[in-house]
Amino acid sequence: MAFLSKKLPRRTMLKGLGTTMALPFLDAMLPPMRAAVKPQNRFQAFYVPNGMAMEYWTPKGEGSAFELSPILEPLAAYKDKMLVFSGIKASWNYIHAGASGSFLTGTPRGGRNEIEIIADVSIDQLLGRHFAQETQLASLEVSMDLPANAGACTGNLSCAYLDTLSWRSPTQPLPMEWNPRAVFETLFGDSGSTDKKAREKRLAQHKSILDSVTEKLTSLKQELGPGDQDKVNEYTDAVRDVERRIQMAEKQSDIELPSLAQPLGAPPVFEDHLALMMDLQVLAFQSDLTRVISFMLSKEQSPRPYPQIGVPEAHHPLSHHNNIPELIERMSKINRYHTQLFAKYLDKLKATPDGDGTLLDHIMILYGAGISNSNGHSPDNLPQMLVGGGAGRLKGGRHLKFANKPSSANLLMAIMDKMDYPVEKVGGSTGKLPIETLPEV
Amino acid sequence: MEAFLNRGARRSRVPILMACSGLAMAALLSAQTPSHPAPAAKSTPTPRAFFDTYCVTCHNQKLHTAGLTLDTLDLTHPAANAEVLEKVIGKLRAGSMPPPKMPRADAATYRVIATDLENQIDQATLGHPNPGRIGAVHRLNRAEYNNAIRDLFALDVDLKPLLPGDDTADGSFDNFADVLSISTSHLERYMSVARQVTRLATGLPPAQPSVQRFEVPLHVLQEDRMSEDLPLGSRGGIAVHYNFPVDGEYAIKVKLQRQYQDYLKGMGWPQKLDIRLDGKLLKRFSVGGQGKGRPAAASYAGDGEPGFAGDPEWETYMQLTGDAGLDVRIPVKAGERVVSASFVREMWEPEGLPQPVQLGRVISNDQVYMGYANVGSVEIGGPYDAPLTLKPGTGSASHKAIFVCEPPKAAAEERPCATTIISRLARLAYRRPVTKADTDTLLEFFDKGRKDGGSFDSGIQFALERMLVDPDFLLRVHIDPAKAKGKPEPVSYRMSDLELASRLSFFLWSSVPDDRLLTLAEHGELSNPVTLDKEVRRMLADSRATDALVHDFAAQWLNLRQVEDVVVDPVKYPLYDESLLQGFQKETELFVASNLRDDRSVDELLTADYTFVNERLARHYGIPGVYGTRFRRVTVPNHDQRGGLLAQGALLVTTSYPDRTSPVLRGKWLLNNIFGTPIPPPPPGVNTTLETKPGVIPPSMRERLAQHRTNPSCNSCHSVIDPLGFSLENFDVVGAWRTHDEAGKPIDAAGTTANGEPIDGLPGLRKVLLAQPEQFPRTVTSKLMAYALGRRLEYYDESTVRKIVRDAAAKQYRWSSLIEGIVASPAFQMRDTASPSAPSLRASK
Repeated sequence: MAFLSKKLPRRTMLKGLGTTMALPFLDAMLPPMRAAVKPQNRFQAFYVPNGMAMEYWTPKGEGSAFELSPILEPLAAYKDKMLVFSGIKASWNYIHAGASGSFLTGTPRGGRNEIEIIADVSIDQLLGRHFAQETQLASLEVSMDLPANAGACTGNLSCAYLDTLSWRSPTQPLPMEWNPRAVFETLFGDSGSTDKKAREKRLAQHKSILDSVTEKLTSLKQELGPGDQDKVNEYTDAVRDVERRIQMAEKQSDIELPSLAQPLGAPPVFEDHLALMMDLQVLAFQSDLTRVISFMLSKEQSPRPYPQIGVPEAHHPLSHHNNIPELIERMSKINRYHTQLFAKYLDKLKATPDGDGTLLDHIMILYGAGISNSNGHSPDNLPQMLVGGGAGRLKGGRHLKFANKPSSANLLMAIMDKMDYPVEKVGGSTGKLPIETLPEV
Repeated sequence: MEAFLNRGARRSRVPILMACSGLAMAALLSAQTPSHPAPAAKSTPTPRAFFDTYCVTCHNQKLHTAGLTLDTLDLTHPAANAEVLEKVIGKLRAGSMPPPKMPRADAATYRVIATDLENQIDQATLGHPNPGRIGAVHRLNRAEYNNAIRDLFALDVDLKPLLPGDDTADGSFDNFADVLSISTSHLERYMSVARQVTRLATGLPPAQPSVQRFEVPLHVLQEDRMSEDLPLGSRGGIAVHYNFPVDGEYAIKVKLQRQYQDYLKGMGWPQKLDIRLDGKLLKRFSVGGQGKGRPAAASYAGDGEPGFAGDPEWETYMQLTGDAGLDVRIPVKAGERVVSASFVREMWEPEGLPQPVQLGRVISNDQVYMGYANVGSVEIGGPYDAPLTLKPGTGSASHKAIFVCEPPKAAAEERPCATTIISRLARLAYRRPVTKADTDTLLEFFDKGRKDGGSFDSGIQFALERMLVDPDFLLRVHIDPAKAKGKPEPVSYRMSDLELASRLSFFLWSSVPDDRLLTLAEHGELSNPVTLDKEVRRMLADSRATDALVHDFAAQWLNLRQVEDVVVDPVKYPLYDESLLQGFQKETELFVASNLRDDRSVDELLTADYTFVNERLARHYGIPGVYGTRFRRVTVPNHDQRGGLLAQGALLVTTSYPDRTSPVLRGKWLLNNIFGTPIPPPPPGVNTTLETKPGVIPPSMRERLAQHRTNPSCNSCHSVIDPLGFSLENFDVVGAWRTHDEAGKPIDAAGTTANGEPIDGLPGLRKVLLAQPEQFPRTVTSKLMAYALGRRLEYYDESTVRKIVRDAAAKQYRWSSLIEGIVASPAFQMRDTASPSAPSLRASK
């Protein structure tokens, strides 16, 4: 009987009863994509908040002879695509701000008061700039949290450190979009559909608006003193981004987009919302609209409770577990639930053909948290791993232990290298983390 | 004028000519009246002697503790060292220095020394205060954008979910110019929203039908009438104010709430569900009671439990068909209408269940099955007519507000009317007189839209879409006067009347100025103090002022926005639910709103013997005789247990952990937001864990926090924080009154402040706060001024704050006296030019 099935999610199984049900809108709607000439590598950050129950995270054994831990066990099917790290230390540690604030920036320091917002350019932005010559969107920044603007975040620092991973400049954190409707518009424009004609008409309107705004910005800038031009420059940069995007969209006007309707907004149930956000991300990669996505499963210091897995306590308070074993065990359920959700995302990537393989073969995902033991916001031994084939540049199936607490910024350097975009420095990096890889291509 | 602009020794001030009336300048000057003398005390030491006795042991040239060298600091001219001394004054006012166990003076001496230093600084800056420098480019934040749309187009829509959030920080506000940045996503969202709101406002048919969903949060109880917009005798549901863009056919669809395993709630018995439009019944449905076959076991906990699920037909009903077909399709006229879905009220009392009912998050199947069916969401879709048959909707308030003239029949003669409409709105949106260049640009877009859309209205729509992406709408820009450019030192200058009009409207309304304000500014009359005063009073009387000051100022000052994020342990606090949290938020909003609207003394926020409750909240607070869901003002029965902000659930629940109260969080909250003597966060790297043996619950929180005493690096701040927090220990996690703590020990709400003053419970806390009459008004003024300016207050603003508070004393610290003081201050009306030697933070990085 269908109800006994463990594997099928509850909602899907009802299809067997000959009835219809609201499914995430993308299911079975994806058109075949053009075959890539050579495998294209992509980068993704997949961030989980509030540290980790390390006792349940760290795998036993080293190198390729390692055993999956309880938290990593849901990823068993992808063990050969996982490169798990131990021993890395966060480049910046300050309560919760340092966790997310340094995750992609590798910054060695942050602001000192509520209005000083400073880190370093994050690697998703560096990579985005690199790929922007070929894709419509340099990068995509998405999360699962409605921006609350409630204040009272972390110490006396700006909430920006908790709400985003992406920094366009050392002083400009980028907002993350939580509303699937807005993500849809970012990907496919705001004409309300993916119909080619409607899109083109809307692009032309955008173009005329932007042209005329640009003129105005230029004259405004002339009136302002040199120290006052930063904000106008931000505005001008934004205009240029959108213009470049429009040009690219015109050039790629024959790109095949799936025919689908705009989502209404965020579904009320967390898992439905997540499924939609995951679908949109897969779609963005699949249509090659972007090659870089930063995603926060929850903002840092998130209080989100998880009653659906029997943990109705707020996540953040629970993460201050006083090192009481029972409470750590409880928190590990959340950590494990997160990897279960991550596994679903990997399933989708694996199910999506891309060139001679699948999207999962052609991506590098940095999964993890920015602190380890959350009880004291520990920066040591970060729970992080790289997942995916990395277009042949990543050799998974290993657990690498590092001595001497190398900085997380050095891991970011290694990632830049593996993305074939080596840079001199990321944040406070002092070198490159030696992650053995396949012979250089 | 010369003296006013020259700020003395620290940096020279170059006076520049300003276009302002002498009257206004005189008023600004007189704003700096001499301060009153320090209270006399017997044998009070001089500040020098005081420092030498109590401070220099650590803060000297050798030790440099905290970077302070008070042994050599010149105290003959305190104003010359105001930056250092304002910090010292803060410590003295908080009584947080010297650290515990070091010799200290009595509380009265602290106050005399602090007042003496303050007076000397204030005297010295008299007549030439530093107005500071608000950011040159100040983006509208999300709330301001939303309100501006409302005021420009008479369109009440919630745009917040469509716009990126504005980051803020503890003790800060989301309208600080320096922090509001503009990213690519901002621009994309602005372009998208501009199109949506202008199409809606001009009544243009949408390109295709759209569906909007309105949800009832999962944990809001639907046991009673939910709003004034729902009929008497109704239960649960939701009423939605919806803007129908054009006349056309729309569908309204209701979905019912499900429990955690996707079963519809309350399907065990038939209930009547009504869908209404503007109160008129469209259709009545019967839901529930149709389940056939064997139900799932009460203990069924999801997939994979053989034999526990119900029969397939029962499962299908519970998951799919139970709320299928709850929809109507009807023609609706354009404009704002109320769409509602609610149940006919039938009382239901569960039997045989343990009482009180556990209202936490996981509920067993049978409880939910025989409980109330709840509305989960209402979806409104449309218009479903063929696009060509749709005509622009002309009936809405927005349409009337925008189309102030009617275009002649001949398309060639439309331009004058288009110009009238566009230039009127552009003046309001750009907050200044429009130029020919402005209208020319917008008319270009009118022409394009006219051609593409084929109608006059579509031309106006596209012009307005362009207008909303203009930097002159999205940014408030302050340009240094030409005369000040190239000067070697920063100079203070008076902002223009137009800049003042925007400052006022964004301060008091969080929105653009109205026609009257702009007209006064255009005629150069607004800066006349008499006019200005009159305008402030007019603006405060407008309901927009109370709305904005409550939802944008007070909500951030008091952390009300955090209530939404609160999670309480449902096992320890079975009486908690989302309705209670929403009630807390509403209570404080109504309380502050009434205080503001009636222009009461801000002290009443602490001392009030009344509050605002509905039945749910009244029960929670132990206030008898309140029935129904409507909030109303009630006098509290026991003023020692309730009354005023300090005893309100919103404050108490946001400063608690899910399973226990936190005297530390509460103490810190009080210091930051009520006492106005903020405490720094713990230094990085300090272990803030209070050690307890695993699994052992410590005897009481008080004993646990006693560990702070044993560690000097903790104790220097916690000796100030903890006693304040203890005084609220009679309130549990959800703000209910209690006499015993989580560990079952009797509450001891007594303590001693750092200055040695006893403090006992809520009445004691009120007493300590009111003992220094200026203390709380000063906190409110500081917070309000930072919000009004859109920047952080700096040391040189302290004199201004003190001056406003001193002047407001004669007016019992009424809201209007604080607001008028802020508006009259140089910080609000003037601005420093950029310092050529000190480039901005952003530029330097």
